[in-house]
Amino acid sequence: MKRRPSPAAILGIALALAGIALVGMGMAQVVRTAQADRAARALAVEPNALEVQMAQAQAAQPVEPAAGSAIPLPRGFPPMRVADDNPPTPAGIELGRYLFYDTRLSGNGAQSCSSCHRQELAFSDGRALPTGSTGETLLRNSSALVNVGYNPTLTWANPTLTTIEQQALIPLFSEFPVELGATGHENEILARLAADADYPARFAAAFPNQSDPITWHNTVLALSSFVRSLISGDSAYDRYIAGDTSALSAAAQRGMESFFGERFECHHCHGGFNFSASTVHANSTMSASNFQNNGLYNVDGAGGYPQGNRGVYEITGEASDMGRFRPPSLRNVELTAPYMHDGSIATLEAVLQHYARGGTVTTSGPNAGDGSTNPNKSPFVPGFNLTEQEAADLVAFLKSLTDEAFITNPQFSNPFTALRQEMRQ
Amino acid sequence: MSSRWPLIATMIVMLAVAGCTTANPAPVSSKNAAAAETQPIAIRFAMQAGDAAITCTDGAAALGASQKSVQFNDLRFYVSNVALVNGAGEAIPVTLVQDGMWQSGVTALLDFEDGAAGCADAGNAEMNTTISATVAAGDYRGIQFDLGIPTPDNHQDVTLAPSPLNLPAMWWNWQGGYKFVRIDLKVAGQESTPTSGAWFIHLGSTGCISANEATAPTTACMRPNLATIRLDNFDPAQNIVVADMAALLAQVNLAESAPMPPGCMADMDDPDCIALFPAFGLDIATGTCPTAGCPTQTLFRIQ
Repeated sequence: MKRRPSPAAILGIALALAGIALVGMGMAQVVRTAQADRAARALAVEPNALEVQMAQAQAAQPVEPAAGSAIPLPRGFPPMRVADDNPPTPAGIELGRYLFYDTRLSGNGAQSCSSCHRQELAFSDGRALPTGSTGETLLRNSSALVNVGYNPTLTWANPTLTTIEQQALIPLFSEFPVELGATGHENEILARLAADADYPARFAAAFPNQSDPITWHNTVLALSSFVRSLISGDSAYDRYIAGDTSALSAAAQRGMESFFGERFECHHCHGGFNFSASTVHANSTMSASNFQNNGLYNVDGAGGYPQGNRGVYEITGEASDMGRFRPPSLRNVELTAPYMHDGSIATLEAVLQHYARGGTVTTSGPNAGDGSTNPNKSPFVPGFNLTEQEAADLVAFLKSLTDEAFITNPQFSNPFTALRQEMRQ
Repeated sequence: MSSRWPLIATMIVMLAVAGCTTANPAPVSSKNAAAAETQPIAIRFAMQAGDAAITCTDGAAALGASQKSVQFNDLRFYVSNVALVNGAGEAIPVTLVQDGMWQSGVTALLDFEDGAAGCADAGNAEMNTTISATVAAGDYRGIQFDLGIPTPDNHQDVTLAPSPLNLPAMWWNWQGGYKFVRIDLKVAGQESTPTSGAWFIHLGSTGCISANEATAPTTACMRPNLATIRLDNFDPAQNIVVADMAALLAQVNLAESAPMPPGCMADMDDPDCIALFPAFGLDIATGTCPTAGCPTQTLFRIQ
């Protein structure tokens, strides 16, 4: 579904260009979509900055579903790229929601997806490293599930894992280490679902015209649709950009200036509507995967990362891929501590100190080394002077990316809890 | 969108023809623009260090005043308003093939990075070294193009813009617009310095005023940094346009960079930019070429 400018937009462009010619200068805000009529108005009235913002808010695109999907998108979000074989539907998303919160999906019934992806924490888990259903400690920090339908690659460091459908198989079936531990319990788990009072109807609604829809394939499709529906774009920052200048405190506004500025370079890896350079959408035409080494380790002085957690190198074997991980979205980052792929940095303030120093020094133990001199480190992590005031302002801005509506949205909540509450009433 | 775009492109070309934008070194012929006979044309570009081709994997030796070896982490630039110059000195605009990938409207991306080695940080696998266009039949002896993106297209939403204007790596934000040129270097022997040996060349408009980075400006950027390059003795069938890193960096000392950022991100006060800008033909204070055709530029030459 390609966007086409309306006749009004074409007229707007014509007016804007005519405006340029009339005033005899080479500049105007002219863009080729619905923003163009805005530009024509802007030329006519010479608005101040606030008026421009307000005009943009008023002319904002209405919330619209992604191509053929049941997922509404916030202002400023481009259409999502969705696999042809799994278009999101309300019934599929709802089935996925039940499965996401269902401990019967684990081999021993101990965990569900939500055990490590809690809504109140933007679907992260608050721990440095999660524990699987059989008690094993996993190697990497549980990812927040925020706008992951825009991820060109899934998990922390795998350029070959490009769909949520592929990714969902890992927590379900992984054995080293065990996460949900479905391996060896495949038929047993499907039998649990088939014996449930509600699942047969929910699967049938999500996958009509199938004689036996309770399959692992359909389970993965539904889980993926639910995860794809976890869209966050209603933070204080979003309201500010939409024209509500009261949405951000003065400190957060100063922090925003710093965040997007060239001194701290945050935006190179965490820019764009999703605050991540690792972002793909329906209008993308070229490869969009993105992995960076941010100087967290340097165990051998030659750029080494701790055994078992070496980033893209583990997939490609390329020395230059050592320590390269996907830069996650910063939306709701206040809620997703601790930080980094191994949860090794506890707070946002400490993350800023890591970047201010241009890398982390590990003083002792097997991982000792100075990450700031890692030869594979991104050139955008050179270090900088950071005053207490600047740090506080940046933290205030990062906290403005918290989306209360997202973490309280009943459509994303545990349906079994809701059912129990209804039964009590 | 694609079906509407030629109309918009035509309107922008008409704007240029009307002479309202920056001065053109060669008078643009209006009568020939509507000539009945057109011919397909391929305009080939190369990125070299002197006579040697450069890639993300191979890098280059002995660049700059201190003769440093470098690896390249990015090798991309936009060109727009491409025209061929005929024997009468008239610049005849070419019409870019609207391919949905590398060329949109009057703008094309030339992309010499393949996402390998250091280019993995910001690059991708796809590459483009040739502009595909049509032009009125004629005998052409020169070429003219703008290094960058036309001002009216420079401040838009990168997520909605047509390819190749949809690349976040080539975009700062609504306020600043696009990076017209992105050439990222890593200086050999300096990988373990705090900046990892980086020396960035990010050219784009500066002094763009708006409420914040997420808002487009409504007035012209103070320094457009959009150089109109004119090169003589260019026969499209025989010649290629070379962007020569050795020439670009001849007066630059890559052994050191002024404090933050490493290299030049188009800041008029950055000593690294002050050393670099003459090679683009640009006056760093005004963001324009003092003489039409930017004859003092050294980055591009015909080969």
